[in-house]
Formats: sequence, C-alpha cells, structure tokens
Amino acid sequence: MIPSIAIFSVAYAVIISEKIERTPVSILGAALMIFCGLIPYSNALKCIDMNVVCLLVGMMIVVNVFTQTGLFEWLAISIAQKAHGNGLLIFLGLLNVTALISAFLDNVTTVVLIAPITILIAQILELRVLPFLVFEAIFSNMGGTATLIGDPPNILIGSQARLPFNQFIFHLTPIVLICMAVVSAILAVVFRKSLRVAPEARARLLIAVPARAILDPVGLRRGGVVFFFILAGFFLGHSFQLEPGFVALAGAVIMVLVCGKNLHSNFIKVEWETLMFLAGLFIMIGALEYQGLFEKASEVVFSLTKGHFFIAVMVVLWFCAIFSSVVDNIPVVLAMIPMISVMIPEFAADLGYAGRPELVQACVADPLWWSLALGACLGGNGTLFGAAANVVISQVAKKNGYPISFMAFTREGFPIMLVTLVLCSGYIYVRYFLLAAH
Amino acid sequence: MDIFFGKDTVMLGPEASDKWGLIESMLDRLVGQGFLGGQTGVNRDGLLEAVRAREKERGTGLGEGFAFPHGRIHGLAKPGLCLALPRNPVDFGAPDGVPARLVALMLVPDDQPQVLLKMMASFARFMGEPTARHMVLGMDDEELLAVLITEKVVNNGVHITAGDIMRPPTTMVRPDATLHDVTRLMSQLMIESVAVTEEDGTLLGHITCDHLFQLGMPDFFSQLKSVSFIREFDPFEKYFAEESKSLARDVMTSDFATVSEDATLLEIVFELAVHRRHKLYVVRDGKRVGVIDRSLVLDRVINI
Repeated sequence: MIPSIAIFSVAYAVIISEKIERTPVSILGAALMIFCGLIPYSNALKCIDMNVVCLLVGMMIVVNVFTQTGLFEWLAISIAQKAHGNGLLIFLGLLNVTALISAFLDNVTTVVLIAPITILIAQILELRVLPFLVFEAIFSNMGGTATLIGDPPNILIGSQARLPFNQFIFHLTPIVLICMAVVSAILAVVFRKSLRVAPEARARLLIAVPARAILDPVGLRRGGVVFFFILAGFFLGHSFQLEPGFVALAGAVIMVLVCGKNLHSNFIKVEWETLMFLAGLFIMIGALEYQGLFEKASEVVFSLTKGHFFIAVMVVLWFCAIFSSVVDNIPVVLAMIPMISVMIPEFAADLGYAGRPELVQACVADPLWWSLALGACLGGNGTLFGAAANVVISQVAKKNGYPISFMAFTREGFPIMLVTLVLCSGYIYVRYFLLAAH
Repeated sequence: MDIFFGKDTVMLGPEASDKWGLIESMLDRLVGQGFLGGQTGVNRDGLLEAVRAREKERGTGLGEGFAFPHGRIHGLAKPGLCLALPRNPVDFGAPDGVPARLVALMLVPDDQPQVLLKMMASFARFMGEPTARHMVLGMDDEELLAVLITEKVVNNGVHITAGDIMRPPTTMVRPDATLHDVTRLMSQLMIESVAVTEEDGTLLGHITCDHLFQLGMPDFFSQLKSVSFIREFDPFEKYFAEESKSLARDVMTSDFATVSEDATLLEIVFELAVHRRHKLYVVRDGKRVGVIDRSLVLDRVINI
C-alpha cells in the first residue's frame, strides 16, 4: 500500500503545484502504478469510467454546436434590454442565467461564452467589469452543482455511485436555488449603489437589436429540439437502463447530424486532454482502491467521529469544500468516492439499518453523497484556484485589462462559499436528519 | 536552353526615338533572320501585339539601365532572343527611372514561361557584376557579344532564387518610432506591413495591419460570435488611443518569415502558399536585403 500512496501523493503534489501540465503527470502516475504491479493492467483499464468519458465527450460536442449559433450573445443582450438598462437587474440577471446555463452545460464553457458579451455590456453601461466576471464564475459553480451534468464532480459521483439524473435534481437543485436566492439578495444590497447607470449609457444599450445575435436560427431550433430529447433521455434513461454517457454521446452525434454540422470538426474540438487526465486519475485511484487504502481511511474517519454520523457528514461536506477551494475538485472527489462507498455500510451497520436498503439509502447514502457533491462543487468558490471556471474567467479578465488577483477573488468568493456551506449544512440537517427522523 | 540567338540578332547602336520604335526594329531583326521560318499561325504582327500588350500592363525596365521587353506567344515553336545596345538610352519605365542602355527582347512559347524567368535571372546576375556590365556596354563587335551572352546567359542554366525576383527594400521603421508614426506611414504608402530594422538594416521584427487591429481591438471582441446586435460602442476609440502611445519595439512581432537570397522558387511559393505568409524578408547575415510578397510572385513568376 505504501508505494501506491507514495506515487499518488507525488503525482497529486505535482498536479496541484501546477508546475507541470496535469495530464502527463496523471498518465505517468497511472503508468507507474501499473509498471510497479500495484494494479493489474486489466483491472486498471476497467477503472476508467467510460460512462463519464462518454458523457463529457457528448456534452462538449453539444456545447460546441450551440456556441456556433450565437445563443449566448442573444441571451445576455436580451436580459440587458428586458431589464431596461437597470444595472443591478442586469447584474443579477446575467449571474442567474449563467447559473442556469451551467446547470446543463460545462462551467468553463459557460463562462468562456458569457464573459465576452458581459464585458461588452458592462463597458456600454460604463459599469465596473470585475464584479460581473468574478460573480459569474461563482454563480457558474453554483449552477453546476444543481444537476448531474453541471459539474465534473457530479458526473463522477453520479456514475460511480450509480445515482440517476433526476435524483440530483431532487436532492441538489432545491438547496442550489436557495443558495442562489440568498447570495443574489446579499449582492443586491452590497452593489445597489455602484450599479447605477447613466441615462446616455442606458440609451446606448436600448438601441441594440438582440435578434441579430442569432447567427444560425435553423441550427439553434434544431439543436434546441435535440437538446430537449437529450434532457428527456437523462430523466427517463434510468428506467430503461440507459446510462447518461450513452444518452449524451448519442444525442450529441444526432445533434451534429440534424444541425448539418461536420462530425469530424466537432470531435476535434473535444477536450481530449481533460479526458486523458481523468483516465490517468481513474487508474491511480483504482490502484489505491485495489490496495485497500479506502477501507483503512474510512475506519480512521469512523473512529475520529466516534461513530457520530452527522459529524461524519459535516466532515465530508466541509473537508471537501475547504480542500476543493485550494486544489482541483476532480481528484478530491475521485479519492472520496471509494471512501464513502466503504463508509456507507459501516455507518448503516452502526445505526442498525443493515438489511434495510431503503433506510440505508435515505438515511446514510443520501446525506453522504449529496454532502460530497455540495462540498466539492461549492468549495470551488473559495479561492481563484478552486474551480476551473475561476481560473478561466481570470484569464479572460486579464487579457482584457481587468486582472483579478488571488486575494481579490478570495475576498469575494470565500465569504460566499461560507454562506452557501452554512446553508447546505442547515439543508442537510433539516432534510436528512430532522425530517428523516420523523 | 535551346534559343534562337546569335550574332545576327545582336544590334549595336540602333537609333530609336522611343521604346516602341526600338521594339519594332528588334522584332524586325528577329523575323528577318528567319525566327519564324517554317511556322504557321504565328506572324510578325502577332508577336508585336503580344509584346505591346505585356508592355502596356507595366514597363519592363528592370532598373540600372536594363530592360527586358517580352511576350508569351501561343503556337511559337521555340524561344528567340534579340539583344540591343541602343545609341541613346531608351526609357522603359524602370522603377529607378534610369533609361535602358541594354535591351533584351525575348519571345517564348506561352507554355514555357520558365525559360523567360531563367533568362531574366541569368541576365540580372551577369549584369549585376560591375565589371561584366562595363564590358558588355563597351563592346563593339556583335559576334563577340553574342558569344559572351551565349556563354554567360543563354547556356548558363540557372535556378531561380529569391535574389532574382526580390524587390529591394524601400520602407522600414526604427524600433523607437511611435505607433502613431508607424500607422501614418502605412496609411500614406497603403502598405499592409512594415519591417522594423536597426540603422544597419538588421531585421528586428515587423508590424502588420492585422497586428495593429488586434492591438487596438479589445480581446473580448475576438471571442464574440458577432457584434451586429450592438449599434453603438463608445469605448472603441479608447482602445486605439491607448495603443498609439506605444513604440514600434513594443508592438512589433517576431512572427515573420525570412529566406536567404539563394532560396529556390519552390521554397518561396511553399512559404507563401502553405504557411500562408503574406510577405517574405530576404536576408543576408540577418540584414534585410529584399522583400518578396504574393503580388511580386504573381507579377514576376505567374503573370510574366
């Protein structure tokens, strides 16, 4: 077990140091695990979750098709006009739409697409650009928390814990909506004065023609119809034994064909590097699992919490959040999933639910899995390095002359992370302990 | 090269009031010596028409007292060359404004433009040497001149190189020029790019219109799929105004292509077509000695 921990620790340290590209580190780490005989090759290949890979590939293609239509520019400029140039309403409108899009599309892509049009709108209105960008990243992470396909940690949890799409909506969307409402209210109070717009700036915005933003109306309509069926597939797929990865990939290919796009050029734009990074990570975590590390780790957690289940759930939520706020949340979640898989039967036995699967699911598995998802996704808001969307938005901002320092982001993001985690703690307590007890 | 040329198509000291008169008398000499013998479908007037058409497109004076009037003739069996050292220099519209003292009339079959190109390159290289130029211009014997040209030019199978077709450098800016001055120069000369060089011609970088637009345009613009929905955008001028204070050294790019003087035509076309370069700088020891752009290749190679 020691060699596998050593290889994983070194690889992990190099990944979070960001001195070397994360993908080769992950692949070399996996290769070393196999070379040292820490996991048989056939087992290693089985560790790569093809459902996750297919889901990511499918959704990347879907995003790419939508990107070409001008949909995001149309959405943003329409919001600005519907708000009649009111700075605060535009600010909150853009943030909430970003969250909504992020619930169904990749966060990084969402912010990359929404940020340029946001900068344009803010410049037209002569408002400070930075709050728009920083909070768009934050709301993107919040929105991504709401669904299975919104954020990679959820995709991993959904696939490895075999949790269906609608369960994510059922358990996570309510608390995400609460978080968005509370944070929006806080921001409205904080920014109400600084988002006032001069009449001449407002007039410039009101003469815009949103309809002209749509570059491919036919592609948008057809893509929208196919996307509706993809979502329906996610909702209903579980009943027909259809994995989300299959639904996403098949739907994406159909979307490309129906919209008359080139399949080859759409496949080229898939982020294969990210997928290779994940594959390497899957194998490294698989090796740790093969060596029996997670049984030991869960025993440690069990003894530390002295078998107190609520404390264990809070440890998962807050530990994941704090850890995810400083390092990439994907490896955090991948490492936590097998540990939680071991914790569930241990706590179930301790609480006397053994042999009663419905109680194990409702009273043990649900609070643990959803705490992991909430902690990993919302923890990303804590610092600039907590989520890929934060890093990307800072790059976009810097290129346009609005540098966001680590501290500047943390000043805004960390309090938001604390607020949302407190809300999540309350939600988990009420929904899975207080109400479940009755 | 199998070319119709000899002492009988060398004319020393012909009188001509202008280039048209000289061209006609050279054509007459070629035809009179049997250049068109046995050929049907090609006649003297047809030759003259082809040379006139080419000459009207643009003067064929190459500069430094040398002109190369020519024509690509459909149905012609073999190339022909007539050389003239007119008594009085004749204006052929050379870029340097110097009238021609040596005129080479070349007629080639329309499917053999490479013969013309090689001949021009060969002439330019030979006449580029001051001693050779002095010797040729001072000769008073047709036979000796014909032998010399046959040996040094006609039978001297050369490969076309960058040095043969390049244009001499005319514009450049110093690294400490302001961007305001650079853009003014580019707009006055209506050029797409300008080299940034040291005093001695050492090439440091270049500035293109595309590059200037990218500098003046905020980055987020390039990320948008369209901007047609926005009717008014005030901060636009601000971006350009901010950049105009920069110096050439701050904004120049090192993303330019250079070739040596002996780069082959294939290399040049490869750089321009495959690597999609608009311009190649011809350098010697890091110093710019010439420029080749797409229009030059079209003009001197394809549309010759």
